[in-house]
Amino acid sequence: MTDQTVTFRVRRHQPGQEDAWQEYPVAVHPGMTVLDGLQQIKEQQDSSLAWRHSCRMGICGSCGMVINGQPGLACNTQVLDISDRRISLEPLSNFPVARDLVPDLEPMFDKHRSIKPFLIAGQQDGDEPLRQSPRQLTDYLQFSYCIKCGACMAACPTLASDADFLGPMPLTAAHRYNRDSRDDGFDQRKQSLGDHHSISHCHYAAECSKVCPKGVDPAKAIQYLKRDLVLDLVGLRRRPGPVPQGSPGTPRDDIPKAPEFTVKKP
Amino acid sequence: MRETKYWALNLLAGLLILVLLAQHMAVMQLDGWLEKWLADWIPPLSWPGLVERGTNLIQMVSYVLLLGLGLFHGFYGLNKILAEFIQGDQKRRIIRLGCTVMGILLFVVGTTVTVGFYLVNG
Repeated sequence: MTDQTVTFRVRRHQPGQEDAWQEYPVAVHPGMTVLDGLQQIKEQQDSSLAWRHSCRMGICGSCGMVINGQPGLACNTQVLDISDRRISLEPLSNFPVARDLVPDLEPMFDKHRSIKPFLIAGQQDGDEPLRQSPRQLTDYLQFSYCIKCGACMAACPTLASDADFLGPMPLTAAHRYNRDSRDDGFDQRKQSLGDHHSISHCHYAAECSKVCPKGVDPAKAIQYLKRDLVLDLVGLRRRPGPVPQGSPGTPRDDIPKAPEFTVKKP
Repeated sequence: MRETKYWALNLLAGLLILVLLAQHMAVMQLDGWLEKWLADWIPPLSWPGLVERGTNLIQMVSYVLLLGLGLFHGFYGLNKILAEFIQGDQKRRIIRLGCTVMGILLFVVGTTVTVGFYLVNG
């Protein structure tokens, strides 16, 4: 297939100056991502263009930007999958912009920190391993795939009108830990979750789930959070535990056994 | 946590409104159908029908409840919608206060009429 030319229309932002659109013609080929296109512009046309990226395979979440009006990952978007021959690129909405396509993600991480995104130990023996059944893992697995790219935050209409709203990413993280059978931090998190700028402010536009590049479905997590908070209020919330104790289960035959120790223990 | 309580109450109010509104609609709209089943049926829009409902304790309580729940549900929703368009906590507090005052005022007026009618004619 011969190369086609696509126009990359980039919203340039320099601190202290007004934003301006700049166009770059880019020769594209099958398999080329938006990130590849940006890289080509930087190498061949304009070295001053700024964006953030790292892994180039949809894992790190660094290259989040608004592509033709829709938040997504530049590394995850094939240029030829976009029917338009003009691709407009903007920094993620609902974030302050550092420069060009580089958003300042600090507000998102501050909110993320505020919901205590870590396992808060409950009552268990100190030396006992925290066991978890496959069923308990499934309860939160989907929500643990979040890569903190900020696409959901950029798509959230509530966050656009209320900058203090926690937003889909931190709320999803809160649900992920609340549903974890090894966690006992619901009571600590519910203070910030029950705030005016939190889940009750979400009116389920579900744009966050639509744009998530990892299929996390933050809108679903928020609905679960709403249910958990109401059930907790009336004393009907079920704790995700208890953690299964005792036998770790029967080893599967198809998994090879660990090799013997070559150095014998005294 | 206070917001969670309001929100849960809003949900509960929605459910109760469904029940009370269904009862109100049945009384007001199904008169032709109910007339066939109830021997002492009085048309709901006639004065005797209105007096009968207004002097019935259960009807009076259900109307006060419907009014209170409806106002809470409506003004809570309105407050949330307005909060979407207004930036700043100070302005949002004013909107919330305005909605609360309006809700209480309307509730007082509605309750005065309903309870007053019951006390005077009952």
